[in-house]
Amino acid sequence: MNNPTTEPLWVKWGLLTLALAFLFCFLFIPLIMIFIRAFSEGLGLYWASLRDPEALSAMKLTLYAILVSVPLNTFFGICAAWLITKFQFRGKQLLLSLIDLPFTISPVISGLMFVLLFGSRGFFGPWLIDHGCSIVFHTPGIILVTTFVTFPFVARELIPLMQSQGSDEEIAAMTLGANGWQTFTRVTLPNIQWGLVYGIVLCTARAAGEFGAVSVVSGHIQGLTNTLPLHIEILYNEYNFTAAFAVSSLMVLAALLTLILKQYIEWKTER
Amino acid sequence: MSIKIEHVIKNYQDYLALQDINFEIQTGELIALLGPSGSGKTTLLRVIAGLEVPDSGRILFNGEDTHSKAVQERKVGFVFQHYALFKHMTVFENIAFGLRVKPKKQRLDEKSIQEKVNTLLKLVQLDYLGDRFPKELSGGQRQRVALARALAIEPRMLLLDEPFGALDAKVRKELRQWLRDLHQSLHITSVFVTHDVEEALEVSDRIVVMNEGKIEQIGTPDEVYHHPANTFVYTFIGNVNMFRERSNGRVSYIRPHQLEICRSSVDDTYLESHITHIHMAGPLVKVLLTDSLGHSFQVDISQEDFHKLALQKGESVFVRPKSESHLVQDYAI
Amino acid sequence: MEERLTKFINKKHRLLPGFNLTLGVATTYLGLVVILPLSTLILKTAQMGWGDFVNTVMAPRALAAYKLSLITSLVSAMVNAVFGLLVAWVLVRYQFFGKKIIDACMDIPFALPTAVAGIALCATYSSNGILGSYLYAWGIQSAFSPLGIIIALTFIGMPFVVRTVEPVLKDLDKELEEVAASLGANRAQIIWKVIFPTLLPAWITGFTLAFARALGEYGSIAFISGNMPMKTEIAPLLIMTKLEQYDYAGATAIALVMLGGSFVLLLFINGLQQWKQRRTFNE
Repeated sequence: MNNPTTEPLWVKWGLLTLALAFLFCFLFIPLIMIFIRAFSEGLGLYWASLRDPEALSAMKLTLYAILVSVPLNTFFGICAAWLITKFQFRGKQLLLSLIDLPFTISPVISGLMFVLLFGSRGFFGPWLIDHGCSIVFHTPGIILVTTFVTFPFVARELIPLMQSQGSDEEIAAMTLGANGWQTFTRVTLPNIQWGLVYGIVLCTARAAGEFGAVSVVSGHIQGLTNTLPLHIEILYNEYNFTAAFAVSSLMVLAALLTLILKQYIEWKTER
Repeated sequence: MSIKIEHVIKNYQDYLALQDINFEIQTGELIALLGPSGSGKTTLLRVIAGLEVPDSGRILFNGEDTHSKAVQERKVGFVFQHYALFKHMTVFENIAFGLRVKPKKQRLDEKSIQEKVNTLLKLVQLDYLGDRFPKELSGGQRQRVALARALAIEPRMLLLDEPFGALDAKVRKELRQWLRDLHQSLHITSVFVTHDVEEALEVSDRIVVMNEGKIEQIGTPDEVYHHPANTFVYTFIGNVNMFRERSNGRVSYIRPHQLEICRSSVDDTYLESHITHIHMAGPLVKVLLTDSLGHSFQVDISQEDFHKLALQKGESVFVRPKSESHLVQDYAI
Repeated sequence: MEERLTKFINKKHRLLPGFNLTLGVATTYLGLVVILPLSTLILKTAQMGWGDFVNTVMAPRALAAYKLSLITSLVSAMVNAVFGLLVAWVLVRYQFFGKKIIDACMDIPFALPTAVAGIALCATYSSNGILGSYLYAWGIQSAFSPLGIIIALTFIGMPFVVRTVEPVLKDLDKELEEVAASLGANRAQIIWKVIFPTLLPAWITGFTLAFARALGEYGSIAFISGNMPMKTEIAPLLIMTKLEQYDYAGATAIALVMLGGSFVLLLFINGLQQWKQRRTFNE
């Protein structure tokens, strides 16, 4: 007699094989290829590509972009989540849609918007350049555009979480005499900490990996406005494949680290 | 249809859900499987339905072994505790489901399906709700939809898992009566699982009391209540007082309503006790007492007797069984 | 008077502090980082004049780019819809070695920089790549062609369907399948009439998200498409090309068309979510 809630064994194995074949062709083989190509000319060249001054300066710029955009968006994300989940007001739905906007805009268009604003022929660009402050094709532009594309991550992670938790605990804290700041740090923050960490992790991953938007505003000035993904592109277009894959492998490792962190957080919150 | 259960054993990893179950259900009977949670009653119901395969033993429908029959072929109407209604279908489509999935050759035409579903909707008194979705119904209405859906396939028996478990007290009472009436008119062999003693006593023809994967007693509600087969059944069904004799350590049981309270004692069968609490519970008065050894017990008396005796909290009174035969001793059961 | 009264009542209803602060921060930040840049797009296009706008937007090269973007995005979203459902099914319903790791790996396309994805796919699917060499031998051009674009977009959009369908499938009550079986439905009928309709809203949402993401994708395509005008140039690539030629107005016009498209899609997703809420029956 067969069980009503399972398929025959041959169907099961067929589906499993098909799914795994798909994942291998489209996910695992490309990932493995990065490491194969990165090490194809030996460890020496691998290390040399990573310690190349241009690679190091690209890492530095990527780090700057993360250090500015992540704290800014974290602060905004907490404010926006508090606003949206704790209060009723008109225009809330509009605010939610606006927060989601950077997700739905093509990264190239995101970059374009900042070129139009701050480029040498943009709306504010000429005035800013006259006053010795260049944004597009310089570090500030890269940081700005990174902030834009990573804008929703923390807020998007916190809003559903705080919505599901409601505000009973906060109100209880207020009745017990806590002030607003105490309520937030002692009641809200411990409740949302892992969601917050997850949001920050996602935000960081995207900030490090953004390509399209950054590519538009960077101007590809080597050693000055190259982030790691842009550095990879340049190496690749210069047929410096091994170096390109070496730097890529670094970013794959960073992505895997992100996933391990995510699993850890899930494991932590499930307990 | 009659159901015969022979030596059914079912293990879940390291825990024995059913240990050698044997009994027979007659055609048209309404049977309650009664027991505390974890007693194996739901597992037994699922084994009968074919949703679980027993490790050994047989289930016979009208004397015919069902082992090789899949759930689909058994024609059992199974009603789940949480109804398991298809949320993407209307009430009408839910009830029609079993008719629509039949192989082409056996399937009724659309008009007959409509007629049949409408008849069933009338039967469960929901004929005005056919095009609603399950989420728009109350708990009691959902339960009736689940029942109508099970009846649509003209099942040879009806299996209900805690049919009223998720409902509030008032609806529960109404539905109990309704199920009783429905069974009376359809006369279909039915088995329902419950942990509610009152429900089992009120609704069923016979009760199968289960505990830890075994059957403790099978009998009519009267038999099970008044002649419990053992200590477990005695304590599980209804309130019971336990007395331990000081001299030999023997334990005896008696129900609160089988005791009476007197102002004076005649012989040594009277137990001197202290009233610790008086609880007015509608037609009955529940009097909590403590005997000289510090054991506490309960006596239920009528309002009438209560006023006649004019009992007060803190008073000393005498208690004795209304009849000697009520006192059941442990080893005697 | 009345207005002041409602204001007063509203204020009283705000039990928790911080409304003004967070509203101020949120709107200021949104205004600076999102609304200001976005409005420049419209301003810039307005400067352009209607005739120029239409000429740019309706140019054959632009039309070819939209068409290619739409078709490749749609095909990749459909591939992901089919295989995403399959992967979600396998991950939820079956037990096999390495299941947990594979489940975790489903997020890689989200976490991996698109440029890295692009060169990884090139290394796999170009004529001397590990899979590409076989495909080319059979006459299938799997890189620098529309097929290459589809492959890249499939990679990028892979997690959406899996991640939207997976939780619904996990929560699916086993009793629904059992009751359907007791009513006489066979396995195929149970899957088609009971399981699939329950998954449908999540499945369509996943498909739409993958489609929307594919429409805007640039990074991975830049490597694998070959960027040939009229042949393998998708809309974001066309914007990039125009920018490199300092044709800001032209780039903006195309961007506005794309934005309009994604706005429609966004509306559709919102409507879908409301429909889903109506059908997700948690009372």
